[in-house]
Amino acid sequence: MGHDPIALRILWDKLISITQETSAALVRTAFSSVVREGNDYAVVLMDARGNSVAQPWHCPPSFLGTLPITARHLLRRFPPETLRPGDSLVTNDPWLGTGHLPDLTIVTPIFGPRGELVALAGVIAHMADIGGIIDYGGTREVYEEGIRIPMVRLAREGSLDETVLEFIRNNVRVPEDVVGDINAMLAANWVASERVRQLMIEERIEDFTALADEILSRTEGAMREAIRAAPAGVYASEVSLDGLEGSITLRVRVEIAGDTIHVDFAGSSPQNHSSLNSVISYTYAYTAYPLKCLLNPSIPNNEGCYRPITVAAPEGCVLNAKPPAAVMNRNQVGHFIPAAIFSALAEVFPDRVMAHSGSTPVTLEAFAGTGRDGSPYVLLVGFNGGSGAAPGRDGRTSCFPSNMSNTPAEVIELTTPLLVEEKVLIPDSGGPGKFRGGPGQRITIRNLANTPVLHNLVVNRLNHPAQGLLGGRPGRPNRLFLNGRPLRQTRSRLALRPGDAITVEYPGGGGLYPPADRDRDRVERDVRDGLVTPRAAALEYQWERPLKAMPARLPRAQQGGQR
Amino acid sequence: MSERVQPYRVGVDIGGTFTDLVLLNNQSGALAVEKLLTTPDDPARAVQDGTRRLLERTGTRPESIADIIHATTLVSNALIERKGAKTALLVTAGFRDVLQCARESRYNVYDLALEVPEPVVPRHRTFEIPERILATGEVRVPPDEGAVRRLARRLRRERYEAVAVCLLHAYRNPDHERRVAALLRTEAPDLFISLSSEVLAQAREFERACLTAMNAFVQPVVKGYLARLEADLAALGFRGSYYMGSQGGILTPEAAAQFPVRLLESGPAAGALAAALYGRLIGCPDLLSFDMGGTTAKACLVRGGAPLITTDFEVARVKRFMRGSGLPVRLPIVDMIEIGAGGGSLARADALGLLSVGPESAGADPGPVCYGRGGTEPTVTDADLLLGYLNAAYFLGGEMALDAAGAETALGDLGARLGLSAVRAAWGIHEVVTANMAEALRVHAVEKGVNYRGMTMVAFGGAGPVHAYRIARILGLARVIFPRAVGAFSALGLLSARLAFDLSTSYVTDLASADMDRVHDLYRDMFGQLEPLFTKAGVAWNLVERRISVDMRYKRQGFEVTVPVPEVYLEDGNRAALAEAFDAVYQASYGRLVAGAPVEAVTWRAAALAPPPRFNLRMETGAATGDAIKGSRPVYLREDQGSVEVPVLDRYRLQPGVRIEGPVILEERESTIYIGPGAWATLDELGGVVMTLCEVS
Repeated sequence: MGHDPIALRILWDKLISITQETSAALVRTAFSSVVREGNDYAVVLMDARGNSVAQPWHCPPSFLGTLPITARHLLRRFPPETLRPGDSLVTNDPWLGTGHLPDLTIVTPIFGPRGELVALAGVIAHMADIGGIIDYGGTREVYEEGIRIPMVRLAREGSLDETVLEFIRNNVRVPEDVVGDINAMLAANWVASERVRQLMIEERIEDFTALADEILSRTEGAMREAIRAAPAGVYASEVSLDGLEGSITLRVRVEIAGDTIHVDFAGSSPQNHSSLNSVISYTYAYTAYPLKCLLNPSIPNNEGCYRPITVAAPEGCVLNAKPPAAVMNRNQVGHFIPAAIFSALAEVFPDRVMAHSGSTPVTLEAFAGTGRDGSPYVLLVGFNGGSGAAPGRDGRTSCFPSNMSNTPAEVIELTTPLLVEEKVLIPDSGGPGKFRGGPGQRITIRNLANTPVLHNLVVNRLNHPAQGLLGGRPGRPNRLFLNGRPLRQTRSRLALRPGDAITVEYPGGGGLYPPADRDRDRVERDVRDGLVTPRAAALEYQWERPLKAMPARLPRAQQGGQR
Repeated sequence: MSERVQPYRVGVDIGGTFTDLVLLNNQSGALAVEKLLTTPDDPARAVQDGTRRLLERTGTRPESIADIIHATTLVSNALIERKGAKTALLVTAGFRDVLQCARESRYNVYDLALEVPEPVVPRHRTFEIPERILATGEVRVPPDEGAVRRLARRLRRERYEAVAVCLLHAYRNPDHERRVAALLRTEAPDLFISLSSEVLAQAREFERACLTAMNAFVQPVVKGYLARLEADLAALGFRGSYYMGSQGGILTPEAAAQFPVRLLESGPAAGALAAALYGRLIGCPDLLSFDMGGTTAKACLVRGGAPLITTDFEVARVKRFMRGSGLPVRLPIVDMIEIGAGGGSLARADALGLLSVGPESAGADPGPVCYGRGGTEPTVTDADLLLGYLNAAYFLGGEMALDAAGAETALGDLGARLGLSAVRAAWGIHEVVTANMAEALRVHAVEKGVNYRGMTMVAFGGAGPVHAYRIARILGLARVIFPRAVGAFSALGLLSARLAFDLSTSYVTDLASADMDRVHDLYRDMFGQLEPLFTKAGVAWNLVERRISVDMRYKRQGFEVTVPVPEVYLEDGNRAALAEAFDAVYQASYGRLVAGAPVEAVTWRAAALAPPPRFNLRMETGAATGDAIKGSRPVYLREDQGSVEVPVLDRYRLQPGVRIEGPVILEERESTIYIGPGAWATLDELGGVVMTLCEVS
């Protein structure tokens, strides 16, 4: 029985609002700052077959893409007839979903008013720690990267499986945070289950699967129509990024044919002996995501958006690594896929593409040390460089293509004995263009404790700054400093002694269209705001007129106006 | 606010379009109402004019007026339109970009050219102060006083009007902010100064800086306005002005001038208070307040006679219904949720071939197609007209003729794109807005743990009474009340507000080892600070109601749940009772507890409320004479019934004791009440129309 366009709209909106409520429950109950402040989580409402049906608008696209894939693996391992109310399933196997161990995926079956399995609530969250060595980039096999949780039943008819929890507790540095976050994930799925059940009763939904099918086929139809409207053809590009054994190249070939798109990554670099390797599910998620942004950004995302898109990557290449490859930093590779696709399709969609982002890839900084109360802490923070410019919009200092939030300096300092000494934008770091790339930022964090702190990160874009598109110019590259002295490596794993300070200068985003076309008001505003120096404005934008009452050197003058 | 020989009270609601005033004689209960156009260039003028008219019409002397209470949209509008003062933001050295960066994430990941709200203070007006306080409250670097002085002189030279100061960890240790303020006052005495430790003493620097900047940005505007208003009213012979606060309590003029962000949403909040008041007067403490006007529909839950409060509000959203697209306001605010886009919402066929309604609105200009002012896209009002809910010849009491043919053409075009007839498209619009509003209300109620089934709704605003029946049906509400004088209903709410202040103190501690003597002391301090605010306003402290709540969480969580606790728990030092209260709130919200995890108390809140004003309200119930029946017209009731001839009655001619069976239309000047099948209408003792619903088989 089909719904009319009105009833379907109403039910669809309700399902989306349920996922928003679910995500609020997770954030408010989460223990670790990476989830509650960093936004490193996702929730998806799926039908009983593991098709994504509804999701919020703000979760990272990777998780939104991998969650249904993981759910379908779990359903094969635990067939629907074996599931009971109160059960929850878990795994963190990279090859079954998110691509690295810290992300736990938990799926909870939802039972309808008549006691039958109707839907699945899914949640992914990045744990503060998952054991293994804290050595971003440096691992050579997945076994070094932490505990690998197979597909198991985490909760059985409402009770947590203590054996599973004990395995986890015994393998992580901060068991309270990890178990606390697992509880938060279960709370989120509980909220989703309760709301779906209520909705089915109130709206007298007899067949949730039929409703899901209608939503999916509408979406799929709209997506196929958008593809059909795009010029058919084969479009290719390649992008390079910093690897630990030299550059890594992603080669992409996008074929638009009829109402389908096939993306092939043949010719990309082979998998390597660092943790910069992606798995196919993660590769798929970050391939489908930019295509949806370009083709049909306003419709709600679900399985229907994925169906017309197929992705191939040769087994053993950096985008389809085979076990037991190290994969901890799969985002350092996978986050470049949207950039490669924007490059390939820039001429096809000149009024839609986004220039490459300095915030690609997300750089997760890990700090592991001893808190003021003597207990160990692991702090994961993600700060961002500049996003790429988009049509009509300058880039910002903002995450792309993931969606990490920064962690407030005050929260970092409340939870650890670290000092955030500065967090300021870098002038001239956004790539020039008619629309300017987002500025990068400099962040310095100092160890105030009297014990050493392990600091670990992999940065990218030291040698490959974010590219501009269609005449736009590249953003400023990344830089790293220890106590003010430059570090030339992309990977840093060092003990910050008491008083040591680590500085990351996050890169700027690329510009879009030629800088000469930039609106003069925008140039002047940037100069006045100190985001572009007068010198760079003259050089890049042929800007001549000095501003009235322009201080000689703006940034210093801000320090209380000493000069 | 004390009882003197001044029986009269005045409530003034300064809205975007109209300024509404009510004059209440608290001895007789008689009520007079005045409505006039807002004077945006100088809002005080309309207040002055309206007050004078009310006094003249009722023959009242200004001296017999005890107090005058205002609500205003001035603060929201100044922020939305960015019409504020030249404002500087002073931050800790190294954090100049706290507003520029915000939280660095995107509220919608699929929009590559995402629009975000502009910071209230631009980067070139943000200045760094060399100083540093640590998370523990210890001073790492004392403020560089020479630098502050030089900066102060520069701000004076460059004619800044206001300064926001937001230094790291000032919520923990406000000394540096206070020192900076003292230096600013010495060097630049004319500057308005807002300190983050006073505006919002909470951790998370972006949210705190943002609100402090907003406060500074609107402060000179608001202060100037308040001063003019006070002077004008004084010239008329008034004393005793008060202001409606965002949280539904009354602020003194001093508090309003110092913390103008606390006036945010005071207008809509007044509507919710009015609904709450109405509920109290008729013995119904729990209800839904539903206010649907031309551009927005707002709802609020009223529990125990008072509207619910939130601390998770956003102002000046760039995408109306997108959470995260506005500027965060982490203050207690009456929990008015925007549940729809009002009668002017535009209807379209979207990319999926589905009908979508709003959030874009035709506003007042050009307005709906039927206004005949150049609108071409159909709106909710056009749909309501074609369906027969509105009367083309009696809109605003007949002052404005509606173009029914134009509406039908526009709806026909939309229908063609959806494969539906004009009427079916109109019905679709009616259904979608109604269902969306009902759903938004439902989600809100569920989030707040309120069982809405069987509740009472109070519906007002121009479009509210048209849509209330169907929302009530969807949600299973028992009855809907349509008060009299809907036009000035919000203003009436002002007179019911209580003088109220709240304070909070941050004391982060494991609950199990909390120093209850310290807790006792901090509450003694807070109530000690609150007491003079009441005595100064003439309210005896022993009459003041004291409320206590504690924000608690599991240790290492980042957000708290607010747990109301009886004061006696603290007097007894009863930690176990506090823990139990936390468990109950947490379990109800999230379905589980975290076994073995220690509970932490974070913020200790104290609120003090003056006794509710004595309220004697007697709405005129003497109906106009003559036959209430005006005629009948076809109204589209349901898809399976199509249009049915429905009687039309004059609301003003309804007699006490009548019972009118639906379906029926009751017309009044500012709105149209629709009583659907299976429901019936009666009049209550205050002259309100009460619609009672029963199950349709």
